[in-house]
Amino acid sequence: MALIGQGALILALLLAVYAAGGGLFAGLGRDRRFLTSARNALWAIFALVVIADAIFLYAIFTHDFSFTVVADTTSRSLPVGYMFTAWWGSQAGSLLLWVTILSGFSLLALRATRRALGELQPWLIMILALIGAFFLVLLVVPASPFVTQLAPADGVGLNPSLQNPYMAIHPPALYLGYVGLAIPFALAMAAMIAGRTDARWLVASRRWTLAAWGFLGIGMLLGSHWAYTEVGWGGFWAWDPVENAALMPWLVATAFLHSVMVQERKGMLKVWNICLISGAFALSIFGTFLTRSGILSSIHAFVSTNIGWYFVFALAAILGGAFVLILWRLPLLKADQRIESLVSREATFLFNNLLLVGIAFAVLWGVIFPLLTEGFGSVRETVSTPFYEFFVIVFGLPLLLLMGIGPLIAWRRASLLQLRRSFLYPLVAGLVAGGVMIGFGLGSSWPGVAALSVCAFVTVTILSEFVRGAAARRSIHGENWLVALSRLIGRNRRRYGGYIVHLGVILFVIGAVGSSAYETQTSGLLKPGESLKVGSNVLTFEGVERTRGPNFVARAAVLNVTSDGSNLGTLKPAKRSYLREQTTSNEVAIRTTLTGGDLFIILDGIRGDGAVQIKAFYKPVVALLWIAGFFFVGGVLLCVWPDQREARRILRRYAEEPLPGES
Amino acid sequence: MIAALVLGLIALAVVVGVAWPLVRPASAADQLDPFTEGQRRRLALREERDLALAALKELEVDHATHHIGDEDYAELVADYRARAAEAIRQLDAELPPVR
Repeated sequence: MALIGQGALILALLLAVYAAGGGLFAGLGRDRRFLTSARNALWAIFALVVIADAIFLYAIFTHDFSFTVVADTTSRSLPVGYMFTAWWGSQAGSLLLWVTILSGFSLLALRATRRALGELQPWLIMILALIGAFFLVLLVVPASPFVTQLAPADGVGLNPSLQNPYMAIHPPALYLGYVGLAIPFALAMAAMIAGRTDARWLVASRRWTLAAWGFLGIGMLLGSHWAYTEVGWGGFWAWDPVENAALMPWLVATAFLHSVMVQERKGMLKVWNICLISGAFALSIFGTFLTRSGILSSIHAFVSTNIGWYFVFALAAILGGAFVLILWRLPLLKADQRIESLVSREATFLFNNLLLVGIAFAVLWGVIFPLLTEGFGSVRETVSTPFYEFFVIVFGLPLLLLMGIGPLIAWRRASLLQLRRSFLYPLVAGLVAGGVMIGFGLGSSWPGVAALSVCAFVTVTILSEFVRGAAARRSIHGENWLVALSRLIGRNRRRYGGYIVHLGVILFVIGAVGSSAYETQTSGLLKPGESLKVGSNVLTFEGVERTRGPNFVARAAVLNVTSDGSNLGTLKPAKRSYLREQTTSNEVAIRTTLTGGDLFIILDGIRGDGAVQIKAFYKPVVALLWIAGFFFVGGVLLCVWPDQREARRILRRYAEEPLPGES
Repeated sequence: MIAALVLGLIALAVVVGVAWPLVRPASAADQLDPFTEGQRRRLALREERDLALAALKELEVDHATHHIGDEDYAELVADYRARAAEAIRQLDAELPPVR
């Protein structure tokens, strides 16, 4: 079986190299036969990778420990549900997932662009095949999932922190995001090689970027929820390099999704957009590099593992290739217009871009700084949460403000009178919100007051956009409010989908600021019958309860919770000991209140005399973080849903000019 | 042995599928049309025209939702109309594309 799997991957690698060459020949020689042959090669790669996946999964599910990776990441006692997640529990398995998604996405992208971007197909195949070849080299040479050994009686088991339902969705969601960014990058590069720098590639890549960005966002949110409920340190985001690895491409892709609107409407920022999409993809490769090269544990680990240099080469090729192509096509990438006024929507998009890229650079610096200090000095120095928080506040607050300002300013320029009219109510809302917070004794955190005031300002601007738009439809078409609102959203899905995402961001910020700036924390050693107070809640320790799971034993502290005299039930924070894996994990206990706050309890330790060390938090409005996810998903779906009117308009434009391509 | 045989069969199927377009007899339809300078120019003009028309539509919305005043609206509408008209005039002046 391992031989077939390894052989399938070697064949896929040879085909990827062939497809890249075939695309090149088809593009240079204008020969459709090479194009068809190269396209068939991509289909064959997909089929071969699926064969490799099937063999790998079969080995996992049949406990075939002669596969080294299977023995290293699973065990006989591992629950069946987590055997599937063991696919991405190892380096080789996760790279195999990368290639599987990439080969599937490549076929989808070719299919989607066959009609309107036929000219780009040879080059698109070439770029996608080269990216595929890179990952297949990794799978064939340094990180094969089909390395075999003399089978041990049982496997080592899966890391307990990965034995969580979130791990079934969180890594694949991130991978869909990382890999998804390969498609807009390939489209941009193909468009430049073909000299098709018109808006068509941009429209095609926008939807791919949006989908990839959505998956990255969902992946990060699920990861945050996993960290919050499973890792058990009391927070949801630790600025860990692995978390930052996903955040960086997401930030740059966010910038692209905004600046792309400027190019579509004004024909400006063409070079900038190509830089952004190249940067987003390079950062997604960098993210995979960070998590897979071993460089995070130590720069010396990077040198000793054999996968790091492959990634360095790939990053250099991506950035160098994009740079050379931009230089070559610079005359075609000149802006059609210029920004006329700094008080215009395009200017707010530009500021938004600078701030987003600024945050991405700050995060990147935070990630690479320890590597640089270790590489060029003797001591590894790290940056901690305050470093990131400083930049998030300094860049994030103006960014939040721009989210409210942008929609109220017209394209090209705005007059003072219009600005006064548009901003009066949102400004009043922001000031009132700030005043109310200080009045209620919440002035202890100035960033908290500032952020929540800006949130109020932005919320009113967004809601006023819905009201104004619906009112305009009512006056023009005589529709009732409900019809006017639904048609307003339905016919401007991208715009109002974006506003819904913005509302999600606002909820996220309120949740993040509220739960961190205004949390209550306490800890104590409790003997049976003793109590601990956190906020208005009293926790009374009743005793230790022992339970047994399929591959672990757990000890839980039983805590009775009362608030203002009423009994709220029991909470059981626990510690699990995984027998096969020989590790323990914290199982936090969480009780969400009606106001969206969480009573969050960690069992820090159990003493021999039966006393327990408890750490307890009350985190106000933290539930908004997760509710924000629904707004995010809803808004993204609304934006990404095919817009038939836009598709017809674009097809009409290209139908007027028969272009080389396929029918 | 069986694994090697299965692998060999897979490889054979793949080679046939990939090589088939190259070994079948070539025809005139196998030549991909080039993207000409004229097409690039006309496409740019059509984009310019569509951008101006889309901007006019957007201006209408901005005006109806009071994001832009009457005076600015009138001035910008005149400008975008002139741009669209100029793009259409240049397109008309071009030779009709050969179909």
